[in-house]
Amino acid sequence: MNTEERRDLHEAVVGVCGEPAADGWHPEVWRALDEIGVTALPVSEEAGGGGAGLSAATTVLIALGSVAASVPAVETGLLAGWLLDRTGAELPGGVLTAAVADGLEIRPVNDGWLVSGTVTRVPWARCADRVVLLSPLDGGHCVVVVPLAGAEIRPGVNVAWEPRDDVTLSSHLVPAGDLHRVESADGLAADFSRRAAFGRAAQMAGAAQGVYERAVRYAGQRHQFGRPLAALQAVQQQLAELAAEASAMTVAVEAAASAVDQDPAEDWPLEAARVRVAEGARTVAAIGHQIHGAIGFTDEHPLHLLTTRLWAWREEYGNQATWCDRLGTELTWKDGTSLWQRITG
Amino acid sequence: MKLPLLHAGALPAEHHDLRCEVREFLAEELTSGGFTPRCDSWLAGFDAQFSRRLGRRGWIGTTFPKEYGGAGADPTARFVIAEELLAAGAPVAAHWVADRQSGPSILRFGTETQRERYLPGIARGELFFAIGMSEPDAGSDLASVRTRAQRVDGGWVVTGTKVWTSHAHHAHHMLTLVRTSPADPARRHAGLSQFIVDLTASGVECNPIRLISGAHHFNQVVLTDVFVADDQVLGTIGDGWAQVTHELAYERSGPERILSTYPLLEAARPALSRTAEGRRLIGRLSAELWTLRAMSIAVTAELQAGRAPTVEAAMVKDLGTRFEQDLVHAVAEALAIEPDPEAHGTLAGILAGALLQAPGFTLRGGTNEILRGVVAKAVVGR
Repeated sequence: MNTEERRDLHEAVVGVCGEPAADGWHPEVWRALDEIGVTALPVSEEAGGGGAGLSAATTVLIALGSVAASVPAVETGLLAGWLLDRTGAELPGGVLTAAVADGLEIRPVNDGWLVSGTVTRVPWARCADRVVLLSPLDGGHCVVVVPLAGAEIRPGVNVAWEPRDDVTLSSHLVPAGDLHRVESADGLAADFSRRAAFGRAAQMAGAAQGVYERAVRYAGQRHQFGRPLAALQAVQQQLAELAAEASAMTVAVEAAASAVDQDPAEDWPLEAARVRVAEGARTVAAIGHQIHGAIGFTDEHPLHLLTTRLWAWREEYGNQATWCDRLGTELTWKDGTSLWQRITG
Repeated sequence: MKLPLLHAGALPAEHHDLRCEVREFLAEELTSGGFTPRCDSWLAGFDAQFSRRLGRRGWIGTTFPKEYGGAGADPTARFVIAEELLAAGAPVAAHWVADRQSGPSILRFGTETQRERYLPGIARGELFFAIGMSEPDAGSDLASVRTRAQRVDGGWVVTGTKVWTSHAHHAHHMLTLVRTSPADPARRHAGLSQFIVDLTASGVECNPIRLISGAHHFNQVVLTDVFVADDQVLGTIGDGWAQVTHELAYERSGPERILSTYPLLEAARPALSRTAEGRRLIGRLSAELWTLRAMSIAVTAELQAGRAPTVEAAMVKDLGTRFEQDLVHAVAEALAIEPDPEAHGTLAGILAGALLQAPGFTLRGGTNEILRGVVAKAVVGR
């Protein structure tokens, strides 16, 4: 994607979202995104998606993150759609979410399967029509599309008050056509968490842009000592650091997406982006709050919609230690190859 | 103002062969004892013979047109060569300034005679330049330089003092910022000009300034009635500030603002990869390096497109130089090895070299506070 295409897509997405709304689920935003065709961009056209690369999807996630949109964009496009794509299945309609499920019991019956067990902290479960699960089955794996009507849902939240619900299924009937065995599932669960963590990173880069824009605006409007905060050198230094961090976070996810679009087999850049973005998240949120003073710390001010998401998303699908470990291991396990050769190719 | 966005670019695939050639050359050099890897090798690694060997390969002045001894290559080719040399800790200090900024400035602002006189020697790795910007009373506040030039028949007579002048005791010329008309408080950037000062000329005195490492890289250069002929004036009299600003864009965003301490990470890698803590550290530092590299490549692409990404370059240098420092302390913490400045080429020696060079990273080429000021002025629109 070139700069203009990126900008147009970003603005189209932000345009349908409007100003950041309160916490919760925004079905009207999701419908509008569906109408402009950006909810399943990286899913193949055969499976009912947009047939675009990870770069386009990343631009959408950055835009959604920048306005703290409460929609299952990562879950639908990057995860559920990708899993179904892998099995050659089509994307069903309705609102989707996705998860890796380890402890399910899946039994065949005449016209389908009976699924039992609990999957914890499923994003958006209470708002979704179906959850797409990656689960072990008979020594292999399967991707199963489970309708959520009739499932027991115990509501939970992350620190940004986004739904992270426990879903309990008791002999839940799944039609035969909705369970797809996966031929070669080697590393599929690891791929899932890598994509999920990367998706959160792209959202975080967007949230960082949002914090930056709010902080610059506020520092220009708020007066103390007879001048705007932005006239104070101490504040300027912080704004500059905020700009640099938000830029680095954005470059990281864009560079990773375009690297993986070019060479899908070499996917460690997704991990590198996730690690760099999580490093920046703390600084960005801290500076955002410091510049806003007490008002930014209140429920009535929208800054927290962005900062709480930075904190929530950073801890989902593996924390910083997990991803530093995986990336460090990935970059050093090959004997006879220097770290430099691994990084530069 | 909207976020100053850089969009990640990639180096052209056609440079892969060039990269492999540089790696092969470096491997041979290491085998034959041609150099000892060290951190901050673009300041601390002065080796005129090594520079000549690079010059013979065509890896200095690569972006100069062929008629001036270059290869007419694009800036991304230079980026590849530079980052390979820096990552290996190769001694590139002798030609660094001439290749990075003096040469390109002469190419851009110089006369045909000046181009023919200086560029081929730079490209051969035989002609070295120093930067004559800072003065005792003009550090971050560069516009307050006091070195003054007086008009005489056929040229100028220059008097003043430059400091922190890296390798002036080896360099042949110093691209010098001087005041050619009296300072005007209302127009601080006016009245400045750039001269190519011959460091062997009469009236030039070069005094060593030792760094905390004990090494002699810096100098104080005292100019007393030094005659500078008209054909040694670079560009236009009075345009010095604009010319210097252009020079700084090259100076601020290159791979040397990211990779100064990278050789330490590579040297520490075997030890670090044995523990979970060490692997996590490699992961964290690699992610940072990988991101900064993408940013630096993006700035190079902007420069290549003829734009002046001043703000973006300042952000890269701010983040990059702090990363260079962070790497040293993080690796030291994980290794539990005592740094030893006399243990050249060992992990303890490389660590000591990095520690003792590190304070300079966030000072040279504009302190990070000044750089953040540049960014802030752009973002708050003042």
